[in-house]
Amino acid sequence: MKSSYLFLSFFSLIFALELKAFTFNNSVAAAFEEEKVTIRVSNETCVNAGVSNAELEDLLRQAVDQYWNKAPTSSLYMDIGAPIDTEPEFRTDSPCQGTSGCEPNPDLIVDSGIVVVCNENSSIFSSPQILGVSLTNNIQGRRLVGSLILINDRSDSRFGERDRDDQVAVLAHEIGHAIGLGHSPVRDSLMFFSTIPKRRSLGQDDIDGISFLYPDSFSSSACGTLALNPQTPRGPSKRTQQSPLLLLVGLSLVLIWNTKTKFWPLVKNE
Amino acid sequence: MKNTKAILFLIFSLCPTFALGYNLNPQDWKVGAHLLALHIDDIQVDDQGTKNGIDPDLFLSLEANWQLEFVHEKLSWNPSFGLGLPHSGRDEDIKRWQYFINSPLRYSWLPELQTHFGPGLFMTRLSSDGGTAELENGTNPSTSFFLPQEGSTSMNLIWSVGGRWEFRPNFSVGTDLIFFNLTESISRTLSASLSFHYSFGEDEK
Repeated sequence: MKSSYLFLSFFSLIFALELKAFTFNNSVAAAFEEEKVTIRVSNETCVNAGVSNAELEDLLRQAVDQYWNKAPTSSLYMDIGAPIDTEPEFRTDSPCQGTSGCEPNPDLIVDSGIVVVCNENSSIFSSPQILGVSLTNNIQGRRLVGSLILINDRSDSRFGERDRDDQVAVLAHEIGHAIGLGHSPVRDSLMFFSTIPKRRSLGQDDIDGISFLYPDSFSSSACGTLALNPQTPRGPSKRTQQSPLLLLVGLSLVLIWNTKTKFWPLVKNE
Repeated sequence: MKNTKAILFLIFSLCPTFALGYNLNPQDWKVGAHLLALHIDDIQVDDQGTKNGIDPDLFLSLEANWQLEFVHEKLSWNPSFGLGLPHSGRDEDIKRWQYFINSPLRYSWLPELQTHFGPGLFMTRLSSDGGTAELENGTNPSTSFFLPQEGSTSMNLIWSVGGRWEFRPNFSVGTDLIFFNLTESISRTLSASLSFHYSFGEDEK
């Protein structure tokens, strides 16, 4: 796994640049192959973040349903799964190792889906302003296999001071990183690199980003006249989509077949 | 669910193609301009929580008309293709193509007044030339993020219901309500359009 594929995301107060586009947090635009991705909360209890595990699950559920699952042009669906047992290192260690960039810590690799853990590591949470950290730490080729979300659980964590809407937005932002998105320079986007006064739904950049990685596809395998067009940019992805041109071809084939065979009993060719 | 959507779509869109056997040539062609407001009140547009409301984009369309006289004398099939303009928005780095194929069945209540209902496909193609962007990232003042390379097309099944009024010969105005993801409770969105059409022929109403 190349370190250049990896990236850590933080929250802090900074300002927009001129660029206006969604970005990815890895160079290959890796994405989960599954159209349903499960988020699981570690059984490690949060101490200082101000939320119980049950509350964290509830916040995450709202985060996916209020934000990412509402993206109308994306096929990705996320839900909250059963809690997962994690090693103590998930609570104490940094997800990165090495002196330059971020080589993923092999002890914190996520085998599948997204795992959320409260973490008290001082190097990764060097400031109480950093509320959460995400790392896509298991990428195979262009396939995203597992991601880790860490919640600041240090004694000076300010996660618990936020109101519920902000906590939901923070978690939704980290989930955005966990599914492969980078930051956006646009303030109205959830993936903007700072909190904003009122965050209530996805911005257009967010919808574009998740739709690029997880495009909705209209499956028509029930009809032999419509061919499926495997989506090439995603490599081995199971996700497929059709070209509208193929739809027209399908319609044309039906038309030709109909006129040749006079299948329709009421057809009266002129 | 996907197969259900596919079957519903095929019933509505492929069956009328048999009508083509009745008469290969459409009875009418129309060009249209649509003000299409997508995903009404579902997208945040500023840092105060304001939603997009009705913020229309311009689409141009070409529509054909086949009378389905063998089914009902007032029923017609009106497939159309529409293309959104422009191809890029506020994101200079992202090219966006939006286009749709609609396949509604239309019923003429009066010679000038029609209503229609049917499925369609709405495509959104996003592409970029790749590269990186330097953006702030937590305690790091600058981190390289990756811009999309290649393209990706999202294809949604849509259902539209609407009406047309021919306010003078060859000119008509129409409205549509368009549902994305009609069967999905969370991602269902409502769009609406106001459209103007010019007819090249004479409708056989």
